[in-house]
Amino acid sequence: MKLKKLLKPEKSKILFPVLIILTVIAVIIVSVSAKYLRHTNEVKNIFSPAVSVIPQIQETFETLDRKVKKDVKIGVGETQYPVYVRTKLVFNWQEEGNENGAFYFEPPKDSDYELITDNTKWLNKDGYYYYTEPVPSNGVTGVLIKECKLKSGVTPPDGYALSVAIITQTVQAVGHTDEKVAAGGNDVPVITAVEDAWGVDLSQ
Amino acid sequence: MHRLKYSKKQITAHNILYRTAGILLVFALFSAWLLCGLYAKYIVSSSNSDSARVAKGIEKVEVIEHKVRFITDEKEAVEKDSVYELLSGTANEEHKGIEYSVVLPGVDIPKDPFVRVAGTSEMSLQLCIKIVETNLPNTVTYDIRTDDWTEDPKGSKIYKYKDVINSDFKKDIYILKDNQIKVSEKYVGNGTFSLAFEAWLEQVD
Repeated sequence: MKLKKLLKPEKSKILFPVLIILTVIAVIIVSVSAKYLRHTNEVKNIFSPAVSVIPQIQETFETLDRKVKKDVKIGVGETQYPVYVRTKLVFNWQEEGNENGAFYFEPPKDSDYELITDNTKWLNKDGYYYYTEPVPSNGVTGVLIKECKLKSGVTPPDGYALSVAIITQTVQAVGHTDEKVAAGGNDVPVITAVEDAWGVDLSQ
Repeated sequence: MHRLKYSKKQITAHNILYRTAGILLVFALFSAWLLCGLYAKYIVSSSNSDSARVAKGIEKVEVIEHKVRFITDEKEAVEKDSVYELLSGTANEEHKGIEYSVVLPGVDIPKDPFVRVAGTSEMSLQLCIKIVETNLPNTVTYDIRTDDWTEDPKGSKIYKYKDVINSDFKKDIYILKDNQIKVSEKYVGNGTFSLAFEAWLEQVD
């Protein structure tokens, strides 16, 4: 029945030209695209931001009552990149035996305690101690505090003990601000990241 | 019972037409399949024999870059103001992408993708590259070597090489100006991003 329909003159008049047109179109399309074309594979690069790690204090205590700090250093953790370190030492009288205890209303005087620091690689400036060398990932600074204790004859307020808070900051040791100046035909960065962050160019 | 209204002769004629059309279609498609991806220009090599052969195109085109070394020594990193260093030499040629896991604000990334083209072309070919950016922050930028590459007016990060290749050609054509990607001090590191490079040669006549 279908064959009879196809063989009808009316159907064949339409079908045959359509077939020819389709063939011509196919030839045109293919001939347009049949030019030389050689392609490479795609080379894809992936970029991930660096991580930020909180530095850790490393210290020892000479006595079990933890009243004498010794050999205090700063560990920078797994930063993946070198960093500069600075610390600020904050002295207080704090409620004895309570890490989160309240502070006495009046801080100790400099003459109340004995602080021995290692100044070979630490720069004391503007209330901060700056470690003058970059510290690698997972690295540790040199000793900052050799020893810290109450001076003999000094009595803390009742119920309080000397507390030394070591506040530490790190900043990437590489990198610079966007600002550049022309020098010898090249654009040279002006300010390093550490100088931009802390106002001290430790890389010099 | 229906009788066919057409003679045997007419039916035979229709069948022949259909078969001819079918054979023509198959032949056209087969010829097109043979031509696709091959060299589609003919050169007459001899006036005596009137023989012809397919023209040759460049055999080798690839995107390559040199490997980078992660600088672990802190003093060296500060001295070079970078955490990566480009390695030179053929032993350090990388044909696939590199993964950079430490992108820092204000620390530019050394990178030197180039297109290696080698061979002899008997037709005029245009070398093109395309750079595909994915999640690229506006604080990370790069410049193209405009001495060698011109951006296609159609955009889409497609660049064309300055010269048409139509003879012996052997060259490594670098893509990035100063072989680096610039990272602004304002980069805040929100997620990973990628840059992909691909190249191709296409016939121009």
